[in-house]
Amino acid sequence: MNIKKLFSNRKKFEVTRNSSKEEKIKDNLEHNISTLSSIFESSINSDFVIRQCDVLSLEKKASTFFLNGLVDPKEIEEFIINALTNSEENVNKNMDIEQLVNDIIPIKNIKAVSMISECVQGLNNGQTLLLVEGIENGFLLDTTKIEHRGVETPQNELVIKGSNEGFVESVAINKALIRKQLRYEKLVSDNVELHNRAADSVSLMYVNDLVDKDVVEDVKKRLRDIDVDTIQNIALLEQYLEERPYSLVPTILYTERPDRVVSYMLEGHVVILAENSPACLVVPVTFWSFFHTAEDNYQRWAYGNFIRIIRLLCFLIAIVTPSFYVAVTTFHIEMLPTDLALAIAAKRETIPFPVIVEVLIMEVAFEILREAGIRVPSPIGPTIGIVGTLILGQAAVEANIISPIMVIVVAITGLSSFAIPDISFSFMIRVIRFGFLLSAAIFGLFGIVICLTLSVAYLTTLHSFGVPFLSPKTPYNPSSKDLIFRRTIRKQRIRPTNINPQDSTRK
Amino acid sequence: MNKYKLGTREMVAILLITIGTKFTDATPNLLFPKTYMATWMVPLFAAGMIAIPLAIFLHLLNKYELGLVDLVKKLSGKFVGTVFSSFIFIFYLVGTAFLMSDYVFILSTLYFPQTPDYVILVVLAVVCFGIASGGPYMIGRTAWIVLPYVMIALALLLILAMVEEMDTAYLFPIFGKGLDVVVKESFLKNSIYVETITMATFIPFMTKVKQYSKAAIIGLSILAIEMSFFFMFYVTIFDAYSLEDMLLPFQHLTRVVELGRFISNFEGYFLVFWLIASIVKYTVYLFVTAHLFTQTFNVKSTRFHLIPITTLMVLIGMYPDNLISSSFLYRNTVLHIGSFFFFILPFLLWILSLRKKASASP
Repeated sequence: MNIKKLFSNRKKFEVTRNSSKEEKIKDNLEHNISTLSSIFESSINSDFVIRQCDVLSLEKKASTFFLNGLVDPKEIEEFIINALTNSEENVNKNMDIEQLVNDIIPIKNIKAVSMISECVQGLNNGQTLLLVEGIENGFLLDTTKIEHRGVETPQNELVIKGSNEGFVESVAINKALIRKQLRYEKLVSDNVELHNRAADSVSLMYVNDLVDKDVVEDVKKRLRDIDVDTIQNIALLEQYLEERPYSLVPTILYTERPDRVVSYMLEGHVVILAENSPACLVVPVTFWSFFHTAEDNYQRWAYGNFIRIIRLLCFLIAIVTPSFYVAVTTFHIEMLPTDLALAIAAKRETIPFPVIVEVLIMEVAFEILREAGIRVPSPIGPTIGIVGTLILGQAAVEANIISPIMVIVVAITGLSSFAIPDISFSFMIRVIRFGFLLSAAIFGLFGIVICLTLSVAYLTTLHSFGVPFLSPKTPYNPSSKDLIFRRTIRKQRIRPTNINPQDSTRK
Repeated sequence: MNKYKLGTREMVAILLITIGTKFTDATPNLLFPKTYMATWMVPLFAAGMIAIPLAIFLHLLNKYELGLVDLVKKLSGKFVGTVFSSFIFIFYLVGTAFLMSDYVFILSTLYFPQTPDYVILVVLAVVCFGIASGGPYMIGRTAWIVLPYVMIALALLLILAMVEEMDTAYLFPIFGKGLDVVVKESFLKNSIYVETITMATFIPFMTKVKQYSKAAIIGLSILAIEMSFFFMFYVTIFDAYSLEDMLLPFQHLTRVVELGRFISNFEGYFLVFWLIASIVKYTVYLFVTAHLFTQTFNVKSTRFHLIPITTLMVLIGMYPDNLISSSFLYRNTVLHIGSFFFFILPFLLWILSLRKKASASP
């Protein structure tokens, strides 16, 4: 009973919340002011500013509204208040009022609105609202100026050769960075309003004559289905958009590099940008995208492929080395050269644990070190290094808790996992490694093979916005074969057709 | 979504993995005591023999654009069709179970002597069940992904084997115990290629039926050469007479090869790829068996019927006492029955389709 009441109350509240927003702007200025004041709680909200003035040229009263912190105060003083109050020239009073406002206020973008809700959204986005007595329209003047970081190098995706501009926490700047790299008239930025409390706006960017329209619709549908208070940033948005929230495998690419984004857009992908995020999302993506870096294509063919081979090696090492060590030393000791087998056995003689326990101790210790290294405040950062090397490396061996070869195994595994370019992918490998370890401890190589085959099989079932995760390899679709290895740039003439670009040849 | 169905590549991968692992189990042991040094001809002859019914079968497939069971049912009527396809189903159920126990014996004897057989069998069955329940696309794509690695491993094995002492004199007399024996054995064992016909079960999940024909032809030609190549290697390295008593020549070959003094035991590395191929192979068989069942008896949800079929396979697979009985006694019989049945079936279907055409034309 009580619960029912709760819900019915909530519904009523929503009705009242929305009712004043859905009103139209009246010709009575006082009434409009009081409506907006109540919506923005002006009695307690000190950021909400109402500035009243007389417009000389119109001989009417007017009010401007804005939210402090989102607007450029200089612009408001200079181009709005000044223009409204000091207008000396005689204007033709028979002119349309919209035309008049356009004439008097020298500002880059003026939009006439008639609904209170539109005014509220404009104010929330840093625009200044101008209401004039006796007119049933409001004018949103573009005065937005939001503080953000300057353009810096990307934190996670550095390259040696190539541009080092990274996205910042402002959509406007990010769009500018993208447009700077791709000056093409068909590059569109499509704003989608979310149906949530804060009415967030998310931008989709794509090349209109390449993109698969179904994917755009799919993304828009998923965005509209999000039903929460607010989406703070793109990392949260990613989790609302993905198909399998419990899956270890990421299906949306998170990148901080405008050049990468542009190369994806030219293949027909859709890019999602949101406020407050120094990165953007690319959909749909395939397994191979997580494996690539921007630099692979910037370096010459041989060098690019060389670093890809290294990365593939790291990928395998990071996943299977500890489990392979366990499998070989427990089940298949004959696989090792005799001398090495004897050396391992001799070192392990004094150690009281089975190999699997030894590996787990070291792996967990390494993961702790890694997590601590990120969270530690920078002044005491160097301590981590000392603790890590001395205690985990040397003292543990001397105390006969682990064998020296174990340190090598864990070190090479850790090092390899750092070479994985994508953070989500790196996490995936770190987690899946423990699964491999346990099954190797139970079934040796058979266990590793089971895990490998199951992982491959699982990857084949995944989809990212309708595109199979391992395509264009399987299911096969024509492409430039930019998968594990890449061809020379001149031969990359075909766009990957698995993501259905409208035009499959690059020209 | 049509674009993302199985294509020629996935089908070739399925064929290469299911048939292409046969020279790695006890199948050579069924052949060597009969044909000796001429065993390498058997895959070629058998492929030549099955090519005729296969061509007819592919012709019928392209004509009617149906999967295996639907084709059999359409041409031979509901009752006879059900009898035929339930025979194929039982053939697959029993054959797979015995083959699986074969592999379990190999694993337990050579690599896991302390693990009980049934544990390995159950684990293998559960893993295959897990992948098979992901459906045909998962199976086909997994096969295509792992195929290159398996092939590279096999090629590497051959290259390393070349370093060993190879005596081409072992290949003579060229026809072994006589051409007639070779031809007879080739016919009796032509069911090693039976998958080129039975994998037509996958046709409903393929983009075009034509692609299946292409895959079957490509697969058959690669496999005939691959298998014959391996048999030739076995003979030149081990000698046909010692192969008579040598169980599992593939595993022996992996033990024989070495790379200098330092790395002398390669079998573990080949075990990895052999196991990957085996898991994919049994997954395919499991799915095909379940799908044959659901199509034959017109029941829905292959996924649901995978559970009882896997259980049944494990139970049958536990029946043989050891590798000798499972492969020499049971599998040999299954292979012989299969050879006759699948050799005759396409001809039978062809005649029926001609009759149908004749009765339809006036």
